[in-house]
Amino acid sequence: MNEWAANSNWPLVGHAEASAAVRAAIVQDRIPHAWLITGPEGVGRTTLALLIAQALNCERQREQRPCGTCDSCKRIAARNHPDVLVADMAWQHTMVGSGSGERAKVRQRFSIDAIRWLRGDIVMRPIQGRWKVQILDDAGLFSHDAPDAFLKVLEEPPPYAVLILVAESVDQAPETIRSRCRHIALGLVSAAEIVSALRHRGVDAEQATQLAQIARGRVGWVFDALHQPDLLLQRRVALETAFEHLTTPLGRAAITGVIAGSHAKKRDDTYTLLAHWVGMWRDALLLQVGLGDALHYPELGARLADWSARFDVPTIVDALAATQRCLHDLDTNVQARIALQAMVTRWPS
Amino acid sequence: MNEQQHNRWIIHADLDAFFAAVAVLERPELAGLPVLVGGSPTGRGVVSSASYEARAFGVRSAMPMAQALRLCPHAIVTGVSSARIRDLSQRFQGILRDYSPLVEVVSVDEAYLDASGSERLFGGAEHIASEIKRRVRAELGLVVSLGVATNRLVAKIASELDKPDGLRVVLPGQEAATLAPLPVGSVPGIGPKTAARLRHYGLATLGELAAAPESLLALVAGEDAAHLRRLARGEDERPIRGERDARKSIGHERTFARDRRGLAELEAPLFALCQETGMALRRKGLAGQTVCLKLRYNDFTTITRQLALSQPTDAHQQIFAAARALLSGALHERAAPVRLIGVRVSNLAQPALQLGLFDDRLQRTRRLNAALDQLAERSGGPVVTPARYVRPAKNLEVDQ
Amino acid sequence: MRVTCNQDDLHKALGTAGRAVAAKSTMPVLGNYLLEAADAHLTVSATNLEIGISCTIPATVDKPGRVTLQARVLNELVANLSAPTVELRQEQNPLTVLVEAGHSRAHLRGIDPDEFPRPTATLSDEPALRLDPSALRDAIAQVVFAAASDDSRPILAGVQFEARDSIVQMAAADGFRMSLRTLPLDEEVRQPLSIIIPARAMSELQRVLADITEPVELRVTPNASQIVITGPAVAFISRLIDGAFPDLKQVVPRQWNTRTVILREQLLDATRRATIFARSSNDVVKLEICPADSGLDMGRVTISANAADTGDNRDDVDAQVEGGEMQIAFNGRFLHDVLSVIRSTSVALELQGPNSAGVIRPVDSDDFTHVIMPMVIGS
Repeated sequence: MNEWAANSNWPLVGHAEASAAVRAAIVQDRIPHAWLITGPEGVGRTTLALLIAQALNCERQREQRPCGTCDSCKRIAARNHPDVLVADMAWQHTMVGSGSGERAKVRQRFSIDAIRWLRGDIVMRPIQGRWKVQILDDAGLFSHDAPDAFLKVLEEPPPYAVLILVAESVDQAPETIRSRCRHIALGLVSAAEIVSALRHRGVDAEQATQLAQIARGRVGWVFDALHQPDLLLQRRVALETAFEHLTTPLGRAAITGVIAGSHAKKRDDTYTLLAHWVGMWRDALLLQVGLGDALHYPELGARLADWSARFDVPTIVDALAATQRCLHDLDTNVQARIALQAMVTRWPS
Repeated sequence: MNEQQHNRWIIHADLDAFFAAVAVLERPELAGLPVLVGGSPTGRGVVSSASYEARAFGVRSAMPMAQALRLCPHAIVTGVSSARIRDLSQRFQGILRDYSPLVEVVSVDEAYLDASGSERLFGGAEHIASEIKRRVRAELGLVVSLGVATNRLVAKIASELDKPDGLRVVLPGQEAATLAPLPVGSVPGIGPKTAARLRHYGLATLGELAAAPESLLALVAGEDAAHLRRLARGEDERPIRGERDARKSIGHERTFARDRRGLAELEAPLFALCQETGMALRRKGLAGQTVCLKLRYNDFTTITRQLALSQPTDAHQQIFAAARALLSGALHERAAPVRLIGVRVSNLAQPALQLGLFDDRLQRTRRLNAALDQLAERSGGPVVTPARYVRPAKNLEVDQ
Repeated sequence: MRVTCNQDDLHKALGTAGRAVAAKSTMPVLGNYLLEAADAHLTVSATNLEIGISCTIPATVDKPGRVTLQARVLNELVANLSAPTVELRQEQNPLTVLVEAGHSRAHLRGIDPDEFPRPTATLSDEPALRLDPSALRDAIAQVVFAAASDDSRPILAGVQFEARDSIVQMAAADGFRMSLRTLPLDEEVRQPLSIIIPARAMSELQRVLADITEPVELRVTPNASQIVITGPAVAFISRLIDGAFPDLKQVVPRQWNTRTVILREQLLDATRRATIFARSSNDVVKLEICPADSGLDMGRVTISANAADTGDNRDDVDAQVEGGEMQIAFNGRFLHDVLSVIRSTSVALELQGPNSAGVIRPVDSDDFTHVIMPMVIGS
């Protein structure tokens, strides 16, 4: 692990290699105009993007950047810097609205209007810092006509401009955009690294181990959970609900009835449930193939094992595929009732 | 229902086995024989029309040609000249327009006519329908089936009831009763999947659907319950859209013999479609400001994406630039094999080109297209295609 | 902070600075005013990061300090105070301010003033330029409307501002038309200047200048990222656009085939009427220019438009025409825009042909040139 990453100004847990690459770029002053940071949600993608922005605009000497203590670093951490913009879906909703009608119902994507806004903003020189930084959080979600508009910025960035795209996977970005970016891939953070980071913050060993296990590499979630104990409880409730829906006949009836009915209003709830079902089928599969120590839901313990023992591997694989298919169908705006029903009928009973 | 609502009279006119009938007109020796018009028996050819003699063997239009030939091995497969089709279709529409200015052409062989108000001139709607039937036979040598009713939904169904050579009038108030014995799938708007689902719940006929308890219907159809019930009762408020509205867009589409995948394979056919659309716009002296792309994937999900241009255009180059951007975006969202691709330009107006200060590309394009159109006029089709779109090629770059 | 000031002064200052409050932002502090009390002055500032406006008013400062307060609430509150003086006093909790006027007392919660964007870097004492506010305002009005209003080419959403010798030249173009305006200076420019100012900022500056009578000073920050224009009690800050502006002088046609001199008001009125009919046909307004017949002493311009659904309209206006007859079509809104900002009684319309750029300029002055591209109808 490099020293810099161990530096307390570098609040990124894990990702030693990525940290070293960023550090090298900053120290050698070879700054790419466009970065693409990929990885699962919660592993520290946005944290790394903000760290890059801090390092670029830090008021200290190059070797000490980012110091984390100067006005610039503090403003960036507080997302309050005039030259550093974090554009995410909430930002888009505030700045350009989310449109109306059919398209707005689909899960949000960066609209052409948002990209045009960003283009209009990037041509204005930075006020306080040396660099103007735009962080596109969840850049995997460009609407169909946005990538072309965005490409124009990437092709001719102003000399002071740095664009940081954050996405789940490199496939989400169109090739034309991908090829113009410096790619930094972040993986899941190991449980050991999370435990060590938690211990460092004074969490006792037992709780740290427990949190790290539930977090499955998503550091962001662990820190959220530390600050909001409710999150653990909410997760527990969501998990039990999902398990009940999965395992009881009445629960399944509710999936197509109640859940499909409320889907229009509470889309996020449906997605959370689906994600849990995917995880549970995956756990069932892991149990079947004897990998019970790599479970996503250790807290369900024997209950999941007892229930899923009667299904064979092909059956579970099929159920898992059906669940993922349903997620995809909802994304492409298939009627919720139909998508959910199709999924449930392919689940074994 | 009060009297006032009954003053609408809609006629649905549908030429019987149109393409097959035209084939027989072209080759009179085929009269009385099973005739199939359509694509080749190999590949994805389908029957576009079958004579009633062939239908007796169970052949239906849209059936794969190979299957049709298994059912009716001695059928004669033929093609028809598109000029002949166009000519007869226009004369058919001409006859309809003699009776009402409000004619909505659905396809070459099918149209709705709003005869409300025309009755006073020509004597009742039924009389108009029988006049149409007589003239179509005498002037075109074709057979037409007609449905007369108070709305388009019932008129459409009525025209099917006595096919071929039918004429069915559904009197005001008789709509629901006429529909009641029909299977649920016979209403346009209830697809095979919905029909199967309705049957599963014991709702096999439109009468049963119309009378189904509210709670059952809500369970079966959810939000669509009210709509389904209106369909089953033969209620339909949609107006007949006349010529002016119907021409509000121009476009072309193409179904592939083999599914295509990726930008590289789809770009060339898309360019050809844009070229046809641009030529059609210029021929009619129109320009459009909205470009709409349609894709049907191999699982039959169909998507449309549209883009508004900064000013109306009749240049296929601009239509293609927009359509290609939409295609690239759509394929990025979902890269499945594509079965059908289409482009459509709407928001039509007289072309009025605002020239630019810094570039004269638009004007140069305009002159180029005028020259291309002249060439095409002489040779009967688009002749000049940029080399890269002649055949699908790999790694195409954007044409600026 | 503890400060007392005149209610009317404060109300005006809030109104002026309020034009820079961010209507939409993900940074809450940009929805607030920054209030700073020091040296017998109260300064009210607001910014949306693109522009910033500060107004300074005289005040009795008992205790200097800084606070930020929600712009909308403070503005409405002060507008509705009836007492002649207002006192602002920071409470025990430094983020809370007591606003007291007569018998009215209100508590407002603010945001930490350190979150407010920093003021600009130190500026030179000597300004780059001194300008007469009303002349600057007129010049902005003649140029700013020609800038691009969409974001398709961000640089064209700016106004090019150049100063050299003893002349300022401003230019804007949206790709279909352009305005070029020169403004003479009283003194020689020491350091030539070439910057691009966002058109939105120019429009706001135009409004701010309306209240100013004394000359304003213009400075550019050392890193060329912002422009600061200061008047006696107001400072206006705008970000600058980076990039190369197209060479607009290249676009001005050097010759004409038909030159028409026409009463501006008459042409403007006729254009207004034509625009009513042009609305549904892409705003196409047609001009037919006929030179004087041998028997007539005046030529004529016919302004017409038609709409398929609405009807059509024609206006004949007398004019002096040099050269041959000409038919040309323009976007009626573009014509209307430029004719509304010219001050002279007569304008000259210089045309080469129906597919080439036309020039419109005042007859009595050569400080303004507008170039407008025609429209081509039919195929």
